[in-house]
Amino acid sequence: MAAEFALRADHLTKTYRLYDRPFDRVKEVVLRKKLHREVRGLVDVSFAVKPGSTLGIVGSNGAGKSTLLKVLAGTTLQSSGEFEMHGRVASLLELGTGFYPGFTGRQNIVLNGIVNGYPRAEIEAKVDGIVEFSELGKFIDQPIRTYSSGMIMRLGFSVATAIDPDVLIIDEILAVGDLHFQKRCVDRIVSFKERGKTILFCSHSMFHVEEICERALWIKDGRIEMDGPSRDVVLAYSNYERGRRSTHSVIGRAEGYETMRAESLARQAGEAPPAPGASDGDESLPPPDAMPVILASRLRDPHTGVVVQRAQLLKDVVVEIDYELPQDLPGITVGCSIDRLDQIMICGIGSTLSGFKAPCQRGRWRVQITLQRLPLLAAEYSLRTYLTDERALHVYHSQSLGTRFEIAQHERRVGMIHVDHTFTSEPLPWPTRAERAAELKAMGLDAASGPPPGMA
Amino acid sequence: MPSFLSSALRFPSVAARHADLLRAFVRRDLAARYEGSLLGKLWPLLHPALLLAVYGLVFSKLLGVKLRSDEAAALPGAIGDGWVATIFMASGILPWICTVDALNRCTPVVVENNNLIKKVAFPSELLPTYTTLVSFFQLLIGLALLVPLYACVMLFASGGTPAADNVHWLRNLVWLPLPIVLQWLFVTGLGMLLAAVNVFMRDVGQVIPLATLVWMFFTPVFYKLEGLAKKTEEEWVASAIQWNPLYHLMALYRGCFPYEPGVEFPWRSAAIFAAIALATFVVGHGCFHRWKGHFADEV
Repeated sequence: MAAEFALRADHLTKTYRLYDRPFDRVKEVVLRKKLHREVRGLVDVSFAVKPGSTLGIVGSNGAGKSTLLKVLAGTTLQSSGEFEMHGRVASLLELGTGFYPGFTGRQNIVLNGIVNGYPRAEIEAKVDGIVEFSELGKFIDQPIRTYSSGMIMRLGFSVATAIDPDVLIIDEILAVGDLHFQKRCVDRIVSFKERGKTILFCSHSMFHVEEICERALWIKDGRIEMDGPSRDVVLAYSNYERGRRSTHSVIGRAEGYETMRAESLARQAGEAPPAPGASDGDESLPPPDAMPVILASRLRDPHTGVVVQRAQLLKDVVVEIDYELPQDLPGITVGCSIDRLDQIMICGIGSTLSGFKAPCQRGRWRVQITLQRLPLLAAEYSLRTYLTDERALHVYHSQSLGTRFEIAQHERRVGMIHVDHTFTSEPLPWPTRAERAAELKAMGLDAASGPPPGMA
Repeated sequence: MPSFLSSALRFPSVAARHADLLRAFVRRDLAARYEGSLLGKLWPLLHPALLLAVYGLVFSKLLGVKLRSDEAAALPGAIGDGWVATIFMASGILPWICTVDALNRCTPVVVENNNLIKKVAFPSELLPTYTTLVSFFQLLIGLALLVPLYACVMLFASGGTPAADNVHWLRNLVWLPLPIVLQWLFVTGLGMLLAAVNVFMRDVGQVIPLATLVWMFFTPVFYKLEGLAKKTEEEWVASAIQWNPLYHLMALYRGCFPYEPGVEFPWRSAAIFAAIALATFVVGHGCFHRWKGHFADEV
């Protein structure tokens, strides 16, 4: 692509007209009188995306993210402004749109591809790959009204990403299917990125936006509130969200997501319970499609080796994580985070980021993270352990240490964290009269306003 | 108006570019209509066949409809009254049912496909287009049954022997594609207009079934206009009915299936209906095209 921009939006504005009654619309045309209220979905949005870059879009619900994506995808018409795109565009605004319940999965693959504007021959050539990616197996020749909603989503994602677009527009669709499939979705999006495709990625998962996108837009009340490196934008937006709803924060939402994952994991575990005690033979091993799982995590005193519930200021503590890998993986990240009770993360630690290669072969492993000279002041915290993929993008499993952990502190300190510090002191020379006058003037207390008491 | 014309002229290339999509939509719709039925794909054939049998039976045997003067029926080589009634009724009812079916299904088609309108970028005028194509597919099957029936009746049941002497009766059949194409233009144009208006005023969806019922009585589907003109004192009713575009369409279809000697193909009706059909298509398509940008906000 020789174009300078893959996508350029120029003063895009979208105004929705709201009528009290549908008939008012007709009356308005006939009487030529304004009967509608205008609601602004997008106001003067301009930006450009270079080919091969990834742009994240963040913002609260109703801020205009989806309106922007709909305008760019061409499903709704902007009120003013214009945009241009270069190359083939695929938009994943909603998975499974245009699926027809009476058709089989295979027929729907073709129908869906055609609806999205691809030639029949091209889709038919790709059907086998799509079926394989969706992992629907023998269900693919059943009518999709017999599918679960998760299976429909899987099929939708498989079709939508099988076609090789130059620009991919994604609206909040990573919560697809089970854990195993979610991981594959993230991988596929990353592979698009690696192949130099342009991606517009709208998500409430700040984590994914920060990791996948170099740049991000924060949309607030239809306007671009901030446009910059994704790290800065995510930080600013997260701060704003925390201020707006201190308890139900962005992280709170992510928390719900984790719970959902954990539940799905529990279901999976229920289907294939590891036989306790049976250590010989393959029967005791989980099925190969089971996901990596944290078996247990705990805090230990590094000196005594005793399991503890509390740590001490400026003392070491060990976070111990036992996990099971049902198969060999290219890599894995083991980590933990310390969160305040209002769920603001204070620090996050991951093996990959710290340059430690956690064991990723099939089997059970124990990883110990020694937190050195813990600089947290006395308070209650919660500790969460994580098992994620090698890029720390996809969370396989996370576990909260059942109890809160306390930090004990014997000295009196104020604030949240301990900062190492030293004190020194030295004498300063006494000022001359002229110097003092100059000082006073600088402070706005010159002679005109009267000398301060004791100087008369 | 020039913009209406130019957008209508672009329509064939849009439809050709999305031929795959149109075909997929038509297939989906046909599958949906007969889904879960035992006879499945036989129904499109069975439906018009049963219809022809029932109408033939009712109008010729039960009602004993006479569509000719007694003198004409007494001419040597005239076919039986029952055959005349069957051919006359079928050649009116098949296109009429197609029109009603297409309009009734077109009207809500944009609203019903709201998920596509909102989430997928594609030329939405294909929605009413595929709907009328499905209705015309069924019309074609009906005509494919009627044409051989008509041919057999005219070749073997009319007096002349051998059958070769009767071939002149089939001459007008070559004009059959004309009313079909014009009807498709007319119905698709009207369907697009109704589908677009229905987005903003859902009342249209309620009115259309009633309106088509009334329309049927003012269209010579079950009667001959000449017969009506004789019966009613009021000449204006008969002349008013000639303002109905479908009167001319019926005349065209009937012109293709003559059962009396000396009937000329109604070229005057052909010219009138061609003009109406083209204008309807340009206006209907133009309105749809102009408003479709607002559909996603309304459905």
